[in-house]
Amino acid sequence: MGQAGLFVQGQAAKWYTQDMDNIEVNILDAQFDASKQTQDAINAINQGVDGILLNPFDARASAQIVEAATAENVPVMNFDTATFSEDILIGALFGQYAGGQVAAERFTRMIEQQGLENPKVITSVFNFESTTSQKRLYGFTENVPDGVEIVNRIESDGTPEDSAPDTQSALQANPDVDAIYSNNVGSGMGALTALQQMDMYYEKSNEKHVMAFGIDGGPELNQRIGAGYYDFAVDQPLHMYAPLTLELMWKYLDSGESALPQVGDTVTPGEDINIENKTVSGIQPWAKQFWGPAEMTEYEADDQTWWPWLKCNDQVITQDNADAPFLYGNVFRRIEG
Amino acid sequence: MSTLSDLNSVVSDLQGDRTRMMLLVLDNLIWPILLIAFVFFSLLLPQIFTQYQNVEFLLYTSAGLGAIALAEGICLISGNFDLSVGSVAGFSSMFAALFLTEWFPGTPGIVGVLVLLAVGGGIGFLNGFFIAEFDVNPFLQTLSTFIIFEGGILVLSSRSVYGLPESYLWLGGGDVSIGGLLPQSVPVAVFFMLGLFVAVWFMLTKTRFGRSVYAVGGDEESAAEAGIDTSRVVIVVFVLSGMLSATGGLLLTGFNNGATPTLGTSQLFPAFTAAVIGGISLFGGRGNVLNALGGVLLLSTIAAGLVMLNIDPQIVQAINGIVLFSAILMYTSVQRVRERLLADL
Repeated sequence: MGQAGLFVQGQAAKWYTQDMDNIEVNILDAQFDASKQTQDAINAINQGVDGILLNPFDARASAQIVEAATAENVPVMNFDTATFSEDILIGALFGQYAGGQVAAERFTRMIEQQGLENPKVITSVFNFESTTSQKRLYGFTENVPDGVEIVNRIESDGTPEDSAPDTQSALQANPDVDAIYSNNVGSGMGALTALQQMDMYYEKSNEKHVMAFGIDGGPELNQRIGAGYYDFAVDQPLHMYAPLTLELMWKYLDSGESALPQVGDTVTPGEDINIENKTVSGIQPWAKQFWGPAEMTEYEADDQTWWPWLKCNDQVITQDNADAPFLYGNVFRRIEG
Repeated sequence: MSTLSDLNSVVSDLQGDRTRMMLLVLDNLIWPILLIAFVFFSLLLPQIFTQYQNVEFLLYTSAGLGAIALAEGICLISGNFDLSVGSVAGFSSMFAALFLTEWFPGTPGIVGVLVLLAVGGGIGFLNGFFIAEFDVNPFLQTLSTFIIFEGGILVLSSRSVYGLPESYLWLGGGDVSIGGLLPQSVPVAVFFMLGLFVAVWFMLTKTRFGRSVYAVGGDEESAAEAGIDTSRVVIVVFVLSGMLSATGGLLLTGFNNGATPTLGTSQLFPAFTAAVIGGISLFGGRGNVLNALGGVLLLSTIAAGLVMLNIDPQIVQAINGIVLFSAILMYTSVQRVRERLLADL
């Protein structure tokens, strides 16, 4: 996701607790650096905190944070992204691999409808050293039909200005490409910029349209989806993760681990966990909680089972719902303006 | 006797000409290297790389980086580092974008350009003032500015700003057609970038101030003894660097059709690399900014060629590092050869 997504994830905790005098939320910014995240988190643990809601930059490196927290009896929960540590109490996330998989399934339906047997695809990924980026790519490439040809994989720092020139070069080399898959919002915006520069920027209704889609919506990208230039984005409940895990954390701190949902449960918004429908800057960001009903399962990765996973639902943004007020990009635009 | 003397004189002149020719080649080595790189990729990508559209694209995508490389280059020539070029580009772009869309909507784009240049120049002035007047190490001064203004971008806005006036975006995103001379319209940014390089080259080589910049970069104490106001030169150099960085931000904004919170921030190392492989000395006092343009084009050519060849992105990053390392090795060797040739003259 881009800066807006990260901003929303952090700020959502503050928005949600702004009317709670007994809650103090500190947001730590890893600045895309696993070691900085570890240092900051360990400093916070040393200063004394009641719990940590962790969106790790790196699945393995962040295990150090969990280890340090566990040594001090500080509970840690994951949201958005997984830490490979058995000491995580619970994680609320959609799953990066699952995001790519959903994109692959929807793309498969699109090419079947268009009768494309061997479509050519460019994949555009952000910082590939990040586990998130890898899983988002493999979720897509491992679930598209065999006939799909990945003609180019480009990597950028995930910003539009860095990804656009490379995407443009890839288009130059593959002018007959059928689709561009972008694994974050910045790469998606870069893909649209490149298509514009190459005079290949057409709405879906135009037969010259190059399919463009990916993971994460965003304030601007949602508008492009609405206008028909970007086919779809697999969006996560980014602004719901923090309130959701805060509610889980409070349950744990009040009543212990048995109060948390157990593997095999189905967790329904408003019944098992209730994110209050608060008003923030005149809007209600949590009015429609599309994260659930969510199945409780076990998070598995690298041939290991790690922790109980509250498997949140995604929301595919299409032209029909691109202006929906419950999407994080639109929440951000309305609150931050 | 006189015939023998004339012959010696002719031989000496010929040797001098040959040495001067070799010096010319050595000082402008980036252009044959760029040519070789272009031919190399053209052979591997015969249908694509030499297309008009690709050449235009290479020039266009070099424009923003080109201005930022100029900002770095002029500082290096003056014997200073400027680590803040990327964040100044991003901060001034975001500041001007918000000025035009939120603080004073409806303001003409040209006012936004002036605001952008004022912000860039202002930050440059701060850098230059502290370095020249308080003797702060340029590396540390600009490192702090880099951090402050990279964070400052997010303080201004964590979202991208679109919907900017067409007149503001024209320089970086507009096209001009040259009545039948070229097959299609050409981005304004291409001409602007070329003009900018020529203008800065002219200022540095043909004006008194420019010669002062080289003198200060070569030996600040000697320059001061020769009557040059070295503090003033350093401050003006950093103001220019800030304004050029901001101009880079303007060109990138036009390319993206909007200002993003990450704009420009990843441009420091490519700009630095371009200046160095263009032959601008890390120790100051030497280098031709026109060759930094060659460095920018070489980086763009390699980046585009590797992507088109579908080389693994991890390898691309490593290759960029190898290019810089090779350039440093080459220029270190060239410097030795150059000194020998100069001794022969």
